[in-house]
Amino acid sequence: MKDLGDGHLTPLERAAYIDRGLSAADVHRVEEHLARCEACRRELTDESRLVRRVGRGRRRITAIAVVATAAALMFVVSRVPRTADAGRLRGQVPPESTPAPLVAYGPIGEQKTGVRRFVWSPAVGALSYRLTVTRSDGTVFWSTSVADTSATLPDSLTLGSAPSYDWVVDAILRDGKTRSTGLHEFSASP
Amino acid sequence: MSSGILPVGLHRLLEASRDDDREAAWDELIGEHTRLLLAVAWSFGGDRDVRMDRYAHVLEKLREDGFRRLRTFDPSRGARFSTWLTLTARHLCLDYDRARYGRRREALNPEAVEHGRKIRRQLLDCVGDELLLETLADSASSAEQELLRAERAERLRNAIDELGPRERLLLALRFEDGRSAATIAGVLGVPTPFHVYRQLNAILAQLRRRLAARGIDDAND
Repeated sequence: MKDLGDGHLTPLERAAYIDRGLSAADVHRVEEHLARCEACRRELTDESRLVRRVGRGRRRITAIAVVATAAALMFVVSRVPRTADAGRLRGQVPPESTPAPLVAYGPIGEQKTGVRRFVWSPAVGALSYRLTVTRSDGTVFWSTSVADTSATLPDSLTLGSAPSYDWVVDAILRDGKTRSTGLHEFSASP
Repeated sequence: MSSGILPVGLHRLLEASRDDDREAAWDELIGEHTRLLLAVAWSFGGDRDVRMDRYAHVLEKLREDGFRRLRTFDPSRGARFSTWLTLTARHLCLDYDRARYGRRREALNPEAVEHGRKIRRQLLDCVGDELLLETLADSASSAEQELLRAERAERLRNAIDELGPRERLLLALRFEDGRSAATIAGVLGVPTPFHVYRQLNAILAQLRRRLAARGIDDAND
């Protein structure tokens, strides 16, 4: 297998870095080398991109299966007789909807009371939503995937005394694309 | 994260003593990872025949010399087998393409060189004010301009050297390699590009503070 050779990171080291499987000391050493070595940075960038792409392809196959199942269920449900309102709407062409932006409702800014719940707007065609809460230094505090447009911090987690936190929601759409609320900062009262 | 032990299928393959056991283990291992290997072979482009030839080349090389390449995987080093296999397959595909098409030489075309210079200039511009250079008169000679530019770059290099490795890596990815925030987020395991921008801004602010302090220290000498 091709290796960049002595003085460079080995493929195993690069794979372990991509997988976040290195000890803190090894991460320090690897990043020290990467900061100086353009060749290893180039390899690592191309490799991490490929690993993510290959991983997305496998998840897309799972997502397609989920969509197919959901479509089958929708077909079954649609055969159930509707209420009288359905007669009124029959024959009308529903208006075209333009995609609305994904909006973070809260928490945003300084919070007077404890923060437990995160809420955002729905995205048309979203299969699921990925919420990520990070500390001010960028490390992940909590991350979860939900089908709904809100998520509640588990009882086992409590926002601590960090100056502020950031949160972002990414909607994973049926076509494999994502839409994001962007990053929003909040500070939690103790 | 790696579990520290060999995947069952790989262990079965490498420990098999009988040919039929080995073949069965090989079929099972490849069956489990064929989608991954096909995705890697596909990612290099070309028509369907070329892609399948690449895939076949990868399988052949993985089998070679009693599965010599597969035996180099060490689960205690922190990598998942699937990630390591992706990187291994990628290198085998690169070797295949080089043998078939020759080595691609990235010529130093003027556009790429100029793009690289633009990216590096951006870093200087981001922290320029704190470099405390005298305002250049319009009539300053090109030799003077060159000297001041070199001095400016030297001060910035010294300030960057004092940063931690992760900060320096982030700057290198952004201002030397010209990578997008999305790409950097993927490489560093940062949740979103927004976090990358946030961290970059913090690092640049830190550099400005250090350069400003250095300028005050120099003035007091």
